[in-house]
Amino acid sequence: MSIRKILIANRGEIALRIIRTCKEMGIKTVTILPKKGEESNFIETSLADEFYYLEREGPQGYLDIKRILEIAKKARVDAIHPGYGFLAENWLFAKLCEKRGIKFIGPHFKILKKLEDKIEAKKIAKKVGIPILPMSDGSINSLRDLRKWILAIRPPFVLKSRKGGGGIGIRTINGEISFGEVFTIALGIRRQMSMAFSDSEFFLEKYLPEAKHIEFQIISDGKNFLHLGERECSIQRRFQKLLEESPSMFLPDEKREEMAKLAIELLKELRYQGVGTVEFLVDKDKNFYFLEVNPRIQVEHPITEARTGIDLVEQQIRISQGEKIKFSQDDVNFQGFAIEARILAEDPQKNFRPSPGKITKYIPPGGQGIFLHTFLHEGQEIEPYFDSLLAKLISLGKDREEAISKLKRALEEFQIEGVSTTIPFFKVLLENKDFLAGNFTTDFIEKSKILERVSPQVFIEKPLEKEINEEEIAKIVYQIYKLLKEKKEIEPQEVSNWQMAERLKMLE
Amino acid sequence: MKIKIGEKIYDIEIFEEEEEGKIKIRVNKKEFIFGEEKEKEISIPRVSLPKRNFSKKEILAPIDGIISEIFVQESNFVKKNQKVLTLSSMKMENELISEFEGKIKEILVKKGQKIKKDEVLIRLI
Repeated sequence: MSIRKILIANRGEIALRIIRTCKEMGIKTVTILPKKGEESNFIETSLADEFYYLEREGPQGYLDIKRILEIAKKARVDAIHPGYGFLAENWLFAKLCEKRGIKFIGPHFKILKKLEDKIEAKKIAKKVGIPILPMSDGSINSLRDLRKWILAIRPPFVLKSRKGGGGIGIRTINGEISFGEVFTIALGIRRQMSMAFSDSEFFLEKYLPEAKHIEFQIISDGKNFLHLGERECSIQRRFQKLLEESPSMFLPDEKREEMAKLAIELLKELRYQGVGTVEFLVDKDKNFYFLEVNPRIQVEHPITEARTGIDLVEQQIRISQGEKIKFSQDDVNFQGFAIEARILAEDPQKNFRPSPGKITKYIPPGGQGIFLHTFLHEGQEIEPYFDSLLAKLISLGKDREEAISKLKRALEEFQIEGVSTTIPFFKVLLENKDFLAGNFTTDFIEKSKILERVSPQVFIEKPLEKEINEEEIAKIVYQIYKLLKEKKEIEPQEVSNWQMAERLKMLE
Repeated sequence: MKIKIGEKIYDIEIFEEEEEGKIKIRVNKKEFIFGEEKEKEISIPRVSLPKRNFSKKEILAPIDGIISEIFVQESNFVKKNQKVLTLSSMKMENELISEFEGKIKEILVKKGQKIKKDEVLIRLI
């Protein structure tokens, strides 16, 4: 049965991304927003054919299964696209959709349920022959468990939430530490996790230092399994991806083939249908280890689309309506080199502190080889409720060098005011010798001390009503001068009552 | 250097004066001098006033966010650097610590409440 109308259970750039493909396919779209009067902050409402209001504030509204299913029924949609985050990996939601005869665009709920359990996922990976890092074979429930596994695994290790998003509760424990300290940290994490999830189980896994994060995009109709190449996402902060590139310049061809083959084996074992990503950590000797499967469209999917010309959202929809993939592995033609920079409402100079606010100026970049996925416009309110992603800036060049120079040029053009963004960080990153040489791992930001070189972002906060005089301008210039001058002294730690505690949920 | 404010363009020149910390900024040919010097001139010798903090002991929100947890109650005593609440902003959980020592007079926010930057969250005495 072909899909004629889709409810997009998401917001922001990914909602726009899905609407665009739907329009090209002649599919009607329905979007949602928190409440009446906020339409201008949710521009997906102006692009979709219909929109409905949620009943709860902020992310709670987008997680409100009952209300979303109610809207789906009222709008008579055939399918729901969950995007990423929110309900994208919620097997209960997928099951309820199925029960009501609505297609959930994503893998079957039974697969989501299996993959939700990170320990189970690792066991399946091991079964098909993918190496995994040493880990506790179950949840840690007592001090005794903890001691047992600490002795078995030895530091450094990572405490991970068994069922939460990839980033929650991740702590690296390096070097010598007493059992008491480990336990205190463990309890702290347990408390943090129970705030976000009802289930606060966690497990222990060996930490792989100096690792690269490399993932493979797989697409399957249940019978044919193809890989669309890899993405390297090693530029991260606090286990959050900031910049992704494809291909990874670190992987030799045989290694790439080997990993892609195993990633396909894993999804075959799961009888996976749809698009999915298999994530790996790779050490400096090119030993790789399974990390997790992301059973959804990912934030960084556009770099794969740029290189292959394949619309992944279109493929998701086609697979959901029972179509077979119309091309073979040999038809997949990889071209050039693509990079994505995540433009976030965060201040890199203050260790990526969130920066909500109102967009007072917005001038997007463009031109050859540049793709921009965003929902921004002047006057847009950036709410503290949602994640900080403002835009994804993607460049495609014939090789890495060209992709970097295009991205650099586009970052120069890109003007966003009213909130701090990661643009100044990328400008510094793209000049960094180690980055240019491909010499970086997931701890690059801390190790390279690159944040010390990021320029401060200064805006005139209120719109100017009258013309300002020379003295006022001189004062502003002096403030900027002082900031620049003191920059090195402000770093490393700004004095404040602010402490970054925990990432609530990984965006991707 | 030129800067554009609104539709108007201004010529800016910056000179680091020989005297330490002094900066001359020229805007459209008009000169302005900045630096620590002025403050030194007006600073009065320190007299031994009783050391009391007359400023308000208030814990303010460093950024916009949503209160996700409150660890203290009214009439509790808190120490300096004690964790008082967590503020969630853009899916990041952030612990706020008290800059003061004292007794909590008033907690002005509730769990789940959306708050603005610089809003008073807790008053101490």
